[in-house]
Amino acid sequence: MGLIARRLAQLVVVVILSTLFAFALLRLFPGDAADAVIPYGTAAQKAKFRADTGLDQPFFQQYATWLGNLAQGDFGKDYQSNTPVADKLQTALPVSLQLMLYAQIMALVVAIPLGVLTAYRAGTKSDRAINAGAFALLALPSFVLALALAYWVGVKWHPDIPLLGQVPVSGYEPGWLEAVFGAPTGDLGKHFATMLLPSVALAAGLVAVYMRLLRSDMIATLQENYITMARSKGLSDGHILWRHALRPSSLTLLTVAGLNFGTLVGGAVAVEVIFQIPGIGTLIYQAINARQLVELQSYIAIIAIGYVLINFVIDALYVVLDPRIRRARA
Amino acid sequence: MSSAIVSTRLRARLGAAVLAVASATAVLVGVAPSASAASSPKPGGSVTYGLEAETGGGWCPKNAQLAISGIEVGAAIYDTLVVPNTKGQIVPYLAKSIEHSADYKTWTVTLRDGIKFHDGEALDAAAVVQNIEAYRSSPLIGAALQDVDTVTATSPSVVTITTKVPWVAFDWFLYLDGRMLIEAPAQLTSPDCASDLIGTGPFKLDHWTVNQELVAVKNPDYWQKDSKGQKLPYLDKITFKPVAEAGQRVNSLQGKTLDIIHTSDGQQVDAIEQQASNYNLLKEQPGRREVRYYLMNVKDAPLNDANARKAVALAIDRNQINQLRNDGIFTVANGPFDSDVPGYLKNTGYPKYNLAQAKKLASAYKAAHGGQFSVVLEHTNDPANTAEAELIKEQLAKAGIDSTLKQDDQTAFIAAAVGGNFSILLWRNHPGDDPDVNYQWWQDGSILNFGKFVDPQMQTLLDQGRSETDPAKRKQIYQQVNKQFATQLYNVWAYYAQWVVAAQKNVQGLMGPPLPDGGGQPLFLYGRHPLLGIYVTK
Repeated sequence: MGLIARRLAQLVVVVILSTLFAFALLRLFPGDAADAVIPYGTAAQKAKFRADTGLDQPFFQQYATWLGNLAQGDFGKDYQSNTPVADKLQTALPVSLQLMLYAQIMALVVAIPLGVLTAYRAGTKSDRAINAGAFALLALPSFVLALALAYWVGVKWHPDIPLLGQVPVSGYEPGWLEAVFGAPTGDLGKHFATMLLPSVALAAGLVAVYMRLLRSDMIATLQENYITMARSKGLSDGHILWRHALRPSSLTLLTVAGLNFGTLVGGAVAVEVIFQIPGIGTLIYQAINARQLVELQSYIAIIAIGYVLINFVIDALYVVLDPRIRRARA
Repeated sequence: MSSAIVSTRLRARLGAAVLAVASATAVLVGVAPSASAASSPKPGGSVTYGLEAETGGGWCPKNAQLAISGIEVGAAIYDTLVVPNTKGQIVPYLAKSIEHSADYKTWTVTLRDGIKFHDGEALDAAAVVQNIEAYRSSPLIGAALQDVDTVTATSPSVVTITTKVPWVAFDWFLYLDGRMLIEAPAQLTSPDCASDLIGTGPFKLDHWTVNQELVAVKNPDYWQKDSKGQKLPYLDKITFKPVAEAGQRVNSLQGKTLDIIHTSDGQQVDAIEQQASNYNLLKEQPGRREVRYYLMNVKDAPLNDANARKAVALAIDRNQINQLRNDGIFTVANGPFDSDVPGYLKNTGYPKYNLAQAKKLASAYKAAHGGQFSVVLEHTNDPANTAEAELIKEQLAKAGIDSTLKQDDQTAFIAAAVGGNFSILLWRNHPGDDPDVNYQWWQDGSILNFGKFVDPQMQTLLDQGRSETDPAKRKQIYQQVNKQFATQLYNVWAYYAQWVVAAQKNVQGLMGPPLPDGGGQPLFLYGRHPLLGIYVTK
C-alpha cells in the first residue's frame, strides 16, 4: 500500500510538473488558436473567440481551469470541430497503444536472443558483426526507415503475407484493443498487415538499444559465482543462459523498455503521420498545427500518466524477475 | 423590373464574347482519357479517395474554410445551386433557373421540385435563404457577399436576392469554387453543425472520424439519373482519407491503398503523368488554373517602394523556378488570369527577367536607404515550398537583394497574411472563376487584401467590372486590372498550377455525366470534380 501511495503521489507530481511546463511552452507558439480557427476573422471576432474559450484569461487561471476539468475527466474540446477530446482519445489511444506494444514485442523478440548470443560469444566475429549492425540501426531515425519501408516494401515490393494479405503502404485497420475502448474493431489480418511496417520502423532503433543493454548486463552476470557453480554442476550452456543468466540480466532492459514509452510516443508522431495511422502521434501533430492548445495539453497529460503507470508496473515486475529484490522488500 | 431572362440566355450573354471555343475544347480534351476508356457504368462498389488535408473545421457555413479537400467532400454530401460548365458558364443545378433583373440588382433563384435533404426535409426557399444568410455571417465568404442587400423567400420555391450594386457575375458567387454548399436547416441549427453533415448530395454521411476517415454512403433518393435512366450515384460508398504528404499520396495510389488521389504539386503531377498508362487521369487544362505568386507587402519598407518591387520582380527568373520546382510542366504566368478568364492578356507588360536592371534598381534603393535592401521569404513548411524559397533567395542574392527564409505552418502562414506581418509570401490563389470573384482579394481596405495595396485606379476598375453589363467592355476592364498589376507589381506572378486527379484503371467516370437540363459538361475547376458518376469496373 505504501508503494501504491508513493506512486500515486509521484503520478500527481509528474502530471502537474509536465503539464505546467508544457502549458508554458505551448504559449511560446507563434500565432494563437484564434488565428487557426478563424484566420480570416476580424480582431473583434478573434477577441470574442478568445473570451469564449477562456484563452484571454491569465496563464495560471487557464492552467487551473484546465487541470480542474481534467481531474473531472473533461479533456476539453477541439475548438474547430467542437469534438470532445475524449472522443478522439477513444479512437486514437488504442491505435497508438497497439502500435507501441507491437514495436516493443518485435524489438524484444529480436533483441533478447541477439543480446544473449552476443554476450555468450563476446569478442568474437559474430559479436562484432551483430554489434555493428545494431549501431547502424541505432543511427537510423525511425522516420527515415519509415519512408524507406513505405516506398520499397509498400510500393515496390508490395508483399502478400499468408493470413495477413497484402502489406499496404499506408492506412489503418482497427484491431483488438479498440473493443476495450468501445470503438469499432476490424479485420485482424488486415490490422496486423497495416501495423507491420510502422511497427518495424519503430522497433528497429529499439532493437539496438535493448540488445546492447542485455549484452553488457549478461556479460557481467556470466562472471557471477552462481554461474560458475552451475557450470561446475554440468548444466548445459543453453540452460545456464536462458534459465539462470537471463532473468537477473534483464532488469536494466526492463527499466529502459519502460522509459522508452516516452521515446516511442515521440517516434510514433512521425511514423504515424507517414503511415497515416490515426493514433495519438497523429493527433499531436494535428493539434500542434491547428494550435489546439487545450487538446495538446490533454494529450501531454495522458502521456505523462501513462509514463508513470508503466514505470509503476515495471517496478512491480522487478520483484517477479529477481528473487533477491522480493526477499529484500519482504 | 424583371426581364425574366432564363439561365440559358444569361449564359449566352456572359459567355459568348469572352470565352474562346478552342480553350473550352481543350478542357473537354482534358477529361477525355477517362471518358474514352469508359465501359458501361454499373451500380455498386466503393472507392477510397486520398485527400491532401483534413477539413478539421468542418462544414458549417459560418465557420467553414474549405480548401480542395473540404470542397471535394462537399461534392459528395451536398449540391450547390449552380455549377460552372466547360464553356465557362454558370448553369442551374439545385436551382431550376436563375434570372436577373435588367439592372442586375435583383436575382431570382427558382428551385427544382421534389428534392429532399438526407433527413427527409424538402429543399425549399426558406432553407436556401437560411444557407445564404449563414454564409453572409462567415468571415471569409461574408466578405465575398458584402454587396448582397437582401435575401428573401418570395414563394416556397423562389428566392429573391437583391444587391447593393448592379452585380453582373453574381451567379458565380452562388458557387465560389464549390464552397456554397446548400445544407439542411437541421444541420445549420445543430450544435454539431460542423460535423453533422446533411445535404441533398449523392452521398450521405455515414461517419466521420477526424484525421482518420470520412465515410459517405449512397443516397438512394438522389434526384439525378444518368442518360439511360439509371439512378445516380453508382457507387455504394466513398471513403475519404486525409493523406497530407503529396508523395505519400502517390505512393498509396501506386500501392493500391487508395483508389483516387488529387494533387497539384508540380513534381508529383509530373511523376503521375510519367505513369499515365497505369491510371485514369483527370488533368486540368490551361484556361482556368489558379496562379502561384509571390505576394508582396506594399504597406511596409522596402516593398512600399515601387522600384524595390520592380527590382525583386526583375531578379526572379520564373522560368528557372518552373523548371526546377515543377519539372517545367506548368506555365509561367504574367498575371492573375489564365487564358480563358476574361481579362487574360498574353502580354500584360509584366517585366521579363533582367538581372542587370534588377542589380541597378537594387543598388539605387540601397544607396537611398543606408545600404539596406532585405526581404523575408515566408512559406509553408513542406519541402517543395522550402526548395522554391531557397531558389528565390539565390536569385535575389545575385541582384544584391538580401533575403531570409521564414517557414510557417499553415496557421501561422495565414495569420501572417491576415495580420500584414510579412514581407513576401509564397502564395497561391485566383482559380479561373469570373474575374469579379477576386474583388475582395484586391479591394481597398479588405481584410483579404493581404498585400495591403491601396490603389484608387484598381478599385475603380473592380467596381466597374462588377457592374459592367457589356461583356466586351467588361473584358477590357479586367485587362486593365491585369495591366495595373503588371505596372504596379504588387505581386510577382510565377506560374499557373495544374490540378490532377489520378485513379486506378478500374475507377471510371471521374467527371460524371453531363449536367442536367442540357447544361453541358461540368468544369474541372480548382481540382473539384463531381463524384456522382464514378463507377468501378473489374
